[in-house]
Amino acid sequence: MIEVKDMGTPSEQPLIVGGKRLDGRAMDEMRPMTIKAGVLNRANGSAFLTLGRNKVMAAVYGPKEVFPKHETDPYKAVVRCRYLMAPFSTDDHGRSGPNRRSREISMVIKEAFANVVVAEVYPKTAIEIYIEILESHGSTRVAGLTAAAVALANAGIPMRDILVGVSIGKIDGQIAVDMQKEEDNFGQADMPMAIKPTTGEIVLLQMDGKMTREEFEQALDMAYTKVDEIHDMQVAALKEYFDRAAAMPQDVE
Amino acid sequence: MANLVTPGDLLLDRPVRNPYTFVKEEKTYAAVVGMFDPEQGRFMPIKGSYLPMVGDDVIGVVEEEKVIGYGINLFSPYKGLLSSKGLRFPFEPNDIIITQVSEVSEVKDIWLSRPMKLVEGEIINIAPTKVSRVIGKHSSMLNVLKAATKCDILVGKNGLIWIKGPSQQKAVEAIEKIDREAHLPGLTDRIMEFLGVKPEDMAAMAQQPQRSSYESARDEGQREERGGFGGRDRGFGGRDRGGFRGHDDRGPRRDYSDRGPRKYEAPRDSNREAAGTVGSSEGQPAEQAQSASSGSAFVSGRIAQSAGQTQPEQGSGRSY
Repeated sequence: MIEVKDMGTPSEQPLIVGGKRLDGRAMDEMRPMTIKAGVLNRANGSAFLTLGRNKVMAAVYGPKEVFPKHETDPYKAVVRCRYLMAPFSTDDHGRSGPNRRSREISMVIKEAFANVVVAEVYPKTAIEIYIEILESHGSTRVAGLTAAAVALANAGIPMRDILVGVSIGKIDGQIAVDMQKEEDNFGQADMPMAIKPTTGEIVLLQMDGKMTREEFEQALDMAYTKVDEIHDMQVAALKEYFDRAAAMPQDVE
Repeated sequence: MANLVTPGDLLLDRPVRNPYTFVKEEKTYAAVVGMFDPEQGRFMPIKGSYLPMVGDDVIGVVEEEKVIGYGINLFSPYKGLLSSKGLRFPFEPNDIIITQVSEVSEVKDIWLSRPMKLVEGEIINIAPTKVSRVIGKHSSMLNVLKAATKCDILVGKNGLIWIKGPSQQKAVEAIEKIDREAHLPGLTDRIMEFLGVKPEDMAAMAQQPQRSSYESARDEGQREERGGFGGRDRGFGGRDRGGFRGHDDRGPRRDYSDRGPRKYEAPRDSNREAAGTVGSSEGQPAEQAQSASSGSAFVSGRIAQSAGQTQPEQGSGRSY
């Protein structure tokens, strides 16, 4: 097996074998994704997403009172986000609680959603997004963001768009979509993005590694081909929730 | 036929602003998940928090007692404030009340008025966006619910509904059914079927002349609120109209009849008493003397006396 300390360096072992990736996918093929909205009773909105081996739970609480009080914005709602990887989500058992990486990801996801939430409707309130990574296998931040967008819509928070997260990378000199763990760790570049599907605006873009200008353009094009596919699944999940809520004898929050 | 729309979907080609839509380039887009009927141009959000509006009847829970009144939990992002001024009896934490939103400030401070304690009965919580479906057009649905279940039902715009009556459970189930199925077509028919109401009966029930639930419940043992100290909204006017009587010894007005045209009333003090005594002792009618002295109320007692004696006609019946 590949040594973990070599993370980020081109691996000895090929990531593309016979034109196929390690799990047999084509370069522009996503891992199978499922989304289910409204899975938590006590949250205002929630979603459970699986992307290959990734399992992500997103919950949204609010709009509610802001604590601590001094963070209140009298003109609009405050959007907050917490992204956390469960200690048991990775191969080796991690430490619980936030760390430098998860705090950074929380911040970039929060800033992505601050672009789409119509915060002026609920001044003096907080909208809290919680993203829990229960099992991780690469591209968890975009999986979490996609799930959180469904949870926000499920909570009835006014938004200008349902954000879509998609990750693009470069493995063995080729551009590929939806990086899994090995490709992320030992590939040449990894680029998570969040896109507004109706306008095509980019609200989150990070990149690890190196790409040429041409490769970057190619990566962007590939990301845009996947946006509609993911967005359709988000809408289908929301529709399924409201059909289910109507059919259930108990109220579903 | 209404269809499901999600945030970012185009609704109308003209701008319509409300909390559940947003406008971009003079076009209206959905901001929340909801059902949109393109023919009628109606958009019904499926979920959403309650946004207080002036005049809404809301049901809330007394959460805390403050110096100025009570903090009320309205199951909304914002807390309500109920002034204890003018209240006939105090509330206690955990009391459930129905009140009216009287003022919503720029920074979403919500002032409530006309509180009424709700005792017994049952409270259920539905999505505030579906309250309009529970009430129906010209409160038709609510009248049918009341008539079919023989329950008293008070609907708060914030999604809390108070139900009391013989077949309480039936009403609860019917309202929960409305909450679940409000976005599906044929709601009225399904509720009729659930309640076992025939369409011909329904028309009669829906058109029953009924007082608003708020008013009918108010009559039961609740006195109309009369401000002892005519506050801002009490309709007794301020100090200049005789509404405020707190800062001298006269106390509240005892008669609530029409006051007629506004007249200047002399301050009741020792000067006037003196003038009255002198006037009557001189054989003039007491009333005239009083009026005369009122013309020079700000003059010292001695001069007022002499004015009352010398020029009674000029001062009499003067109104301001």
